[in-house]
Amino acid sequence: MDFRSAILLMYKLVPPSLSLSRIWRLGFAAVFLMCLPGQLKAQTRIDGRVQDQKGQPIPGANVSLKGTYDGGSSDADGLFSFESDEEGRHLLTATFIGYKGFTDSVTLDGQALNLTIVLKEEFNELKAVVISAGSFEASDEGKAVVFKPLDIVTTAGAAGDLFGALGTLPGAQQVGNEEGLFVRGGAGYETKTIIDGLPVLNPFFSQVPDVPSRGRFSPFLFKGTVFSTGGYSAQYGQALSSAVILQTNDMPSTSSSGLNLSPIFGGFFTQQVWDKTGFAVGAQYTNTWLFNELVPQEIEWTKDFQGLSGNLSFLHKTSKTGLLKVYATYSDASLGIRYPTPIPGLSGVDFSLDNQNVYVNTSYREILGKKWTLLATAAGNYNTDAILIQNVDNSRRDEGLQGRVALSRPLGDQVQIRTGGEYSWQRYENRFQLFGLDQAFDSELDEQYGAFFVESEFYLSKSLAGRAGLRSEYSQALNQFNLAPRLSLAQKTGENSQVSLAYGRFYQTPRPQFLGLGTDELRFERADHYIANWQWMSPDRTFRLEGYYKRYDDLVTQDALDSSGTVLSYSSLGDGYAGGFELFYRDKKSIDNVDFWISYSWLSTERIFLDYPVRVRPDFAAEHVLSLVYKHYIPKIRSQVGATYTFQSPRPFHNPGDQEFMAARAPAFHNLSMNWSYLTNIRGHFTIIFLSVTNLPGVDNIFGYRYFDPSGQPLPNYLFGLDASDYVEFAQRPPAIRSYFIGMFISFQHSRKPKDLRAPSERAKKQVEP
Amino acid sequence: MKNFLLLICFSILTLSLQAQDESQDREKYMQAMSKLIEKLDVAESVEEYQNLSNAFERIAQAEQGEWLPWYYSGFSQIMMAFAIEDLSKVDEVVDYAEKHIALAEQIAGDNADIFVLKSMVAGARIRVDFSRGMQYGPAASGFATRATTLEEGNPRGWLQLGQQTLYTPEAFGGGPGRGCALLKKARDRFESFEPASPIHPNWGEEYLNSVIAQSCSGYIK
Repeated sequence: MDFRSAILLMYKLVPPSLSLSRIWRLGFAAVFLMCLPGQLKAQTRIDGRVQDQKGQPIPGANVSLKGTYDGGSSDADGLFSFESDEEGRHLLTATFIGYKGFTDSVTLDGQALNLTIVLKEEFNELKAVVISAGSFEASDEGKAVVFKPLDIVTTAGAAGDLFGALGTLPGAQQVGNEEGLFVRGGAGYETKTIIDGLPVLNPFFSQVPDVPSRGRFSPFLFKGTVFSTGGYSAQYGQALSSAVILQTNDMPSTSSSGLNLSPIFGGFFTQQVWDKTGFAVGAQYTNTWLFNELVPQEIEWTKDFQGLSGNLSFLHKTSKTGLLKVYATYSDASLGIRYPTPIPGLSGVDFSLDNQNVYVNTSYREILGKKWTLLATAAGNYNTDAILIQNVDNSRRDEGLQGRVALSRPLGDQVQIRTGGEYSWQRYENRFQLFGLDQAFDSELDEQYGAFFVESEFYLSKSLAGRAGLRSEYSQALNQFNLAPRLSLAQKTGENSQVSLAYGRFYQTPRPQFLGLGTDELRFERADHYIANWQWMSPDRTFRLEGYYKRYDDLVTQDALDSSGTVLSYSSLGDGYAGGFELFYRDKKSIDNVDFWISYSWLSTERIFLDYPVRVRPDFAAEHVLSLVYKHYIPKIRSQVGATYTFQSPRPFHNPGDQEFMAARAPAFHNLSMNWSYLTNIRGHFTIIFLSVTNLPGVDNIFGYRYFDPSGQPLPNYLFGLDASDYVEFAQRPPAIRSYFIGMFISFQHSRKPKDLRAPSERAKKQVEP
Repeated sequence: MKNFLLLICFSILTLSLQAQDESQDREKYMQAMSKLIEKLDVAESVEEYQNLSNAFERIAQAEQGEWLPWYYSGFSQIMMAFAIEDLSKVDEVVDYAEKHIALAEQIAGDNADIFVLKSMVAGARIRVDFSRGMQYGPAASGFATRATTLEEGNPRGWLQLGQQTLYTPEAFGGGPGRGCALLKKARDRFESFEPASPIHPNWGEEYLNSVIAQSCSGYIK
């Protein structure tokens, strides 16, 4: 019925006696009725079922007519039903978390509709398979996370040292008298520490013979740590065996200050946070005098360790997505040690060290356009070690600048590409002074290094992912290029389990002490990794089994000695292999308030490198390594008690009385460390008091042996078949059998509210709002 | 002439209808919201919260420019996150809630009730794994504090802050002493609190009283 006929009908129906105004009113009302949309329309019933691609029901989906209130939710069987007064063509949508939205047009005309809606699962990285071969991740966010940053700090025996905690993971081994992490048959220098994309030249405090070295950086500086025991991404290079990849913290959420006190050190930090800017400063002074006085020492300290360090950081949000971070640290440390000799009556060997280190890392992250993410990092380092051995100068200094730019973007929702480049300049200066000579020889080496990488991470499905990359590097000192392909694949095998495979070629420039000599003969040291891993993971339990084979090539070897025993040249003739398997189990659930993990590594390896005459198991590589880490939180006494037990099977060493090379075995290594942290508050400020003991049972651990001739002069390395009367043996032990630590940490949360930094006009706007 | 009259009639009609439509739409919106809020007040199960969140979301999609439907949709999701037994699903739900909270915030700007939701999201994340307290604890109390400074008289900011403090161990600056003092502030503010409209947030008093009864007997009279 159209308007015209409606009005005509009206006139017909209205009796003539009625006044015009009455007619008008009636007419008005009638037309009004015509025009009211709903009244004459029919209701349409819409029902149906929401299901996934396999036909399984999806409960809780939101089905609606776009732009209206009409709609319904699917029930446990995926069924929904609702009615609508709308007419004509409308868009019907269906949505549910984790699924792609569904839209279709429907025509509503009173005829009931029955629909089957199929939702496609949205691609979600959090649920998808993760490449896990060769990598352990510690972070608060993200997927495949085995560790949280706090786990590092609370591991007994690690004494708050990042590398100490990583040493309890499978594949890693710490060697008491040498710095660094020894990973899968690789030497300590084959593990690199990378901060925000750039390798750090001096991640450890300067090494002192027989004194275990700690990492320079506090684990609290980093929001994420990836410990790769092999097969890592093409984004990184220059590490033959392993990479510790660290990401610095973003903006902290609150302003706070802290005080660190112990008989051997005192320190403070404070951080201020505004809307867009954060600033932190900290300093620490360490002096081991009291400790050395109280705890029996195996070595004589001619100067107690004394150190002063400070750090500064600055963060600024340059835009909604941009973040600039600057971190700078300075440290000054000195010590003196007199090493005993095995000859009675002979005074020891004096060693003294004075170290200064400066490290600055600046990074900038921003999203460019819509898709590209930029991460640019620049770093500078300066390190001097003034070393005197029996008053003979062995100082060294190195300084460098590094820069890196990385860009990444998604291609669709299942492919991510990354590309970037890295450049570094380093200068190494060494001073050699030979015994009995006044004159010192200085050597200086400049090295420039450049690298380019491209990598793609892709998901072929939710359960099959891959990462393929290519890295090319150039070393100026070697005047050579290399090309390193990397490939990883991961396939889900069940709800919680997956298999991963990785292959990669890794290059490392020979260490600077070799580069000055025989550069013509030297090439990049090279390793090929093949890794297979099976992992089962739930939020509370993780089990991993990993096997690997590595082939080493072009390792640096020492060629010839002159009559005084000085090395004349080096070449790249070394090689070797390492193979083995590892087990890891972590459980946070089975025992109340207990978190524990077990790592076991079996390693078979041989190599010929440096001054090794034949291919053997190197002296740093133990065949079996076992770590048990146990942490028990006892709420009643607000304490966490932890214990870590580490076992390493006997490591080889060479005895000059032997005919065969590296045939002797040092005793097995055992260490049981315990710690206790007590949470309390002092005048309302959160306080932790901690106490730790390493090597509680007092096992006499021997790292290795040094050999001297009967007059007390050190013997050259690797002599054969000496008569027992021609040499004297000296066992290398840690400076103290047991080591103790007691300290407290007080935190002051600033109660002041974050400052309102918005423009006054914006603030005013807020106030007039209802 | 007839056509002319018809035209006039029609234009008057359209104009008046439009005005009527607007007030009718408003009425329809208020009614629909009120009905859902009533249901939300008594909801308990994951399914109920899911359905309510869906219904609020439908209104939000239809009523561009209204922050309350997004607010309630996010709130329903958060309540669902606290009701879910399978903790591995919580993050997904609060991720979704965060999106709706952000949409509400885009429209409403800085708002105490929205900061209360943000604080609750952080609380839900801690529920998944208590070791996350280090990370999300400061966020939870920071957002709640922000709510109390934005609108001093809003009882839910104090409720959330008080509750957060109550369940934080004493060693970390929490405990019943401090928590209950804040909850008392919340109770005082509930006495005089008037929502801006019948559909503005006005929940929490009953819950507050149950928390006080359970945990603050020695601390609040």
